[in-house]
Amino acid sequence: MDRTDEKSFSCVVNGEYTVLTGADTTPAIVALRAHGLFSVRETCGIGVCGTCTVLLDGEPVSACILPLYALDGRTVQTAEGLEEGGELSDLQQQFIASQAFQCSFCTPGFLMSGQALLDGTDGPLDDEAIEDGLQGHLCRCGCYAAIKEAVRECSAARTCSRAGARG
Amino acid sequence: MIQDNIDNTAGAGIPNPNRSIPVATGPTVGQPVDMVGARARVSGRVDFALNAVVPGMTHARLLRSPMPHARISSIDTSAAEKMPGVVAVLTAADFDRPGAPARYYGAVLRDQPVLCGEKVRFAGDPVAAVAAETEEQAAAALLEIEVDYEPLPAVGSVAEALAEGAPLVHEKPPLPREASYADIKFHGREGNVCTKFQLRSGDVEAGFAAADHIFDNTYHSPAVQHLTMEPHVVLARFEGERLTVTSSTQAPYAVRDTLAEMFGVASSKVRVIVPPIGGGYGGKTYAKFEPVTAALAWKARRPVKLVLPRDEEFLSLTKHAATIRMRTGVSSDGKLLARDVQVYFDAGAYTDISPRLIKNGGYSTAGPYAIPNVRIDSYAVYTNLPPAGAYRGYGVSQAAWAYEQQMDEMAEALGIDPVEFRRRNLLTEGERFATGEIMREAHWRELLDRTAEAIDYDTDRRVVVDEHRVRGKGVAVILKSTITPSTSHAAMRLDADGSLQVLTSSVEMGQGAHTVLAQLAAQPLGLPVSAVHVTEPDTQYTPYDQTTSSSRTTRAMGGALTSAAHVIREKLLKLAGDLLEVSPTDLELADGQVVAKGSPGVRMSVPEVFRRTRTGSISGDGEVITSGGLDPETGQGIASDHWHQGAAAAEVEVDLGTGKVYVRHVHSIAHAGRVVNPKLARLQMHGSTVFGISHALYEELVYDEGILTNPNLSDYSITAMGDMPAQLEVEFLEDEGEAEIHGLGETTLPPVIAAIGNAVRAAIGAPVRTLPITPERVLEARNS
Ligand code: FES
Ligand code: FES
Repeated sequence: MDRTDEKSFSCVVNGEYTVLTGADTTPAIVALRAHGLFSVRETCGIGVCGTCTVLLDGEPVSACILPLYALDGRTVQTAEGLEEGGELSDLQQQFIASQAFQCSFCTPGFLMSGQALLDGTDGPLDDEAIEDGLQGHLCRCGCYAAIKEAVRECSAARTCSRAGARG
Repeated sequence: MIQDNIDNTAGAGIPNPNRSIPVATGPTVGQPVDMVGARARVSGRVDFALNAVVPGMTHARLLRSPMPHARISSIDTSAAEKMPGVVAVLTAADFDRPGAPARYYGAVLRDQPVLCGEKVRFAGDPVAAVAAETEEQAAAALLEIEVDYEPLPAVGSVAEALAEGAPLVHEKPPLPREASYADIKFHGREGNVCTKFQLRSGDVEAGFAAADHIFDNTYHSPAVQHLTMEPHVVLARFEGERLTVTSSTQAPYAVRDTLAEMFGVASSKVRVIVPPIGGGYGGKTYAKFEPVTAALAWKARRPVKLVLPRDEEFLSLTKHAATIRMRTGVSSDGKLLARDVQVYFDAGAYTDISPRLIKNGGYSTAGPYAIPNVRIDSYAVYTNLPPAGAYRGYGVSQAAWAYEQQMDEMAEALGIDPVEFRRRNLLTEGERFATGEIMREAHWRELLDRTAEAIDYDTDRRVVVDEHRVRGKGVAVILKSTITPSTSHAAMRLDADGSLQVLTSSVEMGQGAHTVLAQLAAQPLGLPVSAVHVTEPDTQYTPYDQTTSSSRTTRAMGGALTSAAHVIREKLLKLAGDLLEVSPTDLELADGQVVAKGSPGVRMSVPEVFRRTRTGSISGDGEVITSGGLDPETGQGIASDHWHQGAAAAEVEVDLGTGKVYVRHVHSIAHAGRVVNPKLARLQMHGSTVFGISHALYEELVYDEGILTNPNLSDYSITAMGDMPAQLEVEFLEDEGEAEIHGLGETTLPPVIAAIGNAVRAAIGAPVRTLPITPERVLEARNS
């Protein structure tokens, strides 16, 4: 990237006013990681694995194919922002209880889409709804059953913090 | 030394000299404790190597050959060197001069160039490397490097490589590394044969002569990729001649030794640090990209970080494609009498760990069966394809795909129920395996019975749902070895505040190693898991361990830690015994207290024992060193210090119109002996199931004239959440009381693949002998 292409983009990241720098077309993941948000990770780089998922105005998006300009003036949430006052969100806690990860490289992506799914629905979710909501997320370690269980349990308890609504 | 014990003709067999340290369920062992560091994992704060940053760091990219086999006539880097931000451009010309690193490396044979010089051997072979201030600048500079190639005829498969007059991947057999591994022997190295393993047991011709039926089938497994979600990451930096490498490796000590040999320095001059890694599955075992990154750092005189791009991950290492011709002679009452196997493993362009894999995969083709007469020839064959190496399942997936498919085919031809047919032949306690060794703790029958029962195998083995859909059920049972001989050391230190520091070189890659090791270390000392801190591998401080692979960590490293904990326990009880005036043998440890057995009032806290005796810390170490080995001519000896035993059952539904297979139900079971953490153990088995489904139905690296056509996650499919069976169960077979630990990382992967294959065969009434079982292959099998 030529330094002369660098621009500033302002957005709210995990509740804080933030200026990210890069070219218009710099992938959002590059700028977010440069900002120290290491929960945003790349596996496929082409928008098919879900590892790099962040919430843009509450909607899950793939940060690997999202151009930086798309963040301008918007609200971004990453896994670092799921905690509230140093407390893990209900879904994060349930991920631990259900042991919904092995290497956990994919975990932030699943958590973001899982949170968006919970935020956008009411009541207990069945397997089909969960599979639908987490479609496009891959976990090579093979934790799918535990991940489903975590989201199912959380939806049944339904005290999950509405992280997407917090912004 | 082992050969002395071998009498190939005797029925007595070879006793196993190895013993493990049995453990009992207790306050920490056997408990479903949360993974250590779980909080960091769900908040995205695990410090993967991917996050590593050091001052002055530059970024590396590799230039790779576009041709599968070619001579390099010239490389011109002058334009690239002038590109903005470029710090160093590295080529073969930088190596093998006074003061420069050696260009060839390899865990067993030194045949892999860090960068190619005279020729390239696969499409993707690295020819140059650039370090620049940014990754983009490094990538831009690659485009300015000019390489002239003279194409050579290439071999794209084992068949082509073994044909008369085939072009040679390596003109002369590469030299073995001096410090290779004790279990690896060489055989038949000529032409494109990298090496072979052979096994001779009994009299195969006599066995076939006595047989009523002889089955002769060929089975094929393709190359597939590990696809760890975190790519290979290496950060290398020099201080004078001291090299420090942070790497996502499964084998810190193997990497250290390779780098020390390459730079011609004492191994103490190389330090390898391994943060938690984002998946391994075998793909990060032995030196991979550490040599090129370190060489670049040496030339750049700056720290260099390499994050391998995803398309290059597909070129890094694969599971071995394998073609297995299996001839088996059976009596009409269903006893296996003789087996003759030719196994061809495609090693790709470089040896990597193929010599061990073809050995283990080779003898595994005898299966968990008592077959009196066995002949196995297992070959590693060089081709002009990306190198193949360790992969979860380690040759057993390919072997079991052959022998468990054939078991069902034979059972049907003989008119015997497939489970009953297996039962008549499965190894039982004290029987000889094909290597001559005596099997102990043989549980295969029980595993098979339980898995068959779990899917109700006896009823509705084939169900016609409607005119388009049929269902079928299948089972499979396997045995798997672990690296033998092998060595693991551990050290630990109990501090005055009652906390325990565990020093181990076992890598945490998501399998939960550090959690189960903390559980095992805590128990003899009566500590809670929260009092234990497991250090990340750092070859400067953590003791030697061979590798984190082969499902060996919980047993081998766990055994070393258990010994170390007992050393500390003895020292501590001695100190406390003197203070309490009680014999150490009458003391026990619980909840951080030393307590007299039978008199709970006589007690003292661990910190107080330290204070009163002016002790600062108590250290202990432990080790597990196993022995064994096979005779190079006969393959007789001790192949494995203990055996992994597993079974699986599957029910599938096949759409006869499209040929698509839907997995409805998978059950898998492994002999665990003692489960240290049921929560994490379950996940290992789930992971094996997910890999098994993936290898059975979806995964295949497709090459066109030696060029990989699907190096991305949109053209290369792996199991997604929606592909999971509605019913998925895993089960452990545990022993009573104090029991040995058996690894669970891979045991149920091979049988899941084979069980799905057998279920498809039951459904459509015809075998698909080539993996993966794609819709096209299903339709083809049905129509033939
Ligand atoms: S890395 Fe962005 S979707 Fe895979
Ligand atoms: S936990 Fe490793 S990829 Fe999902």
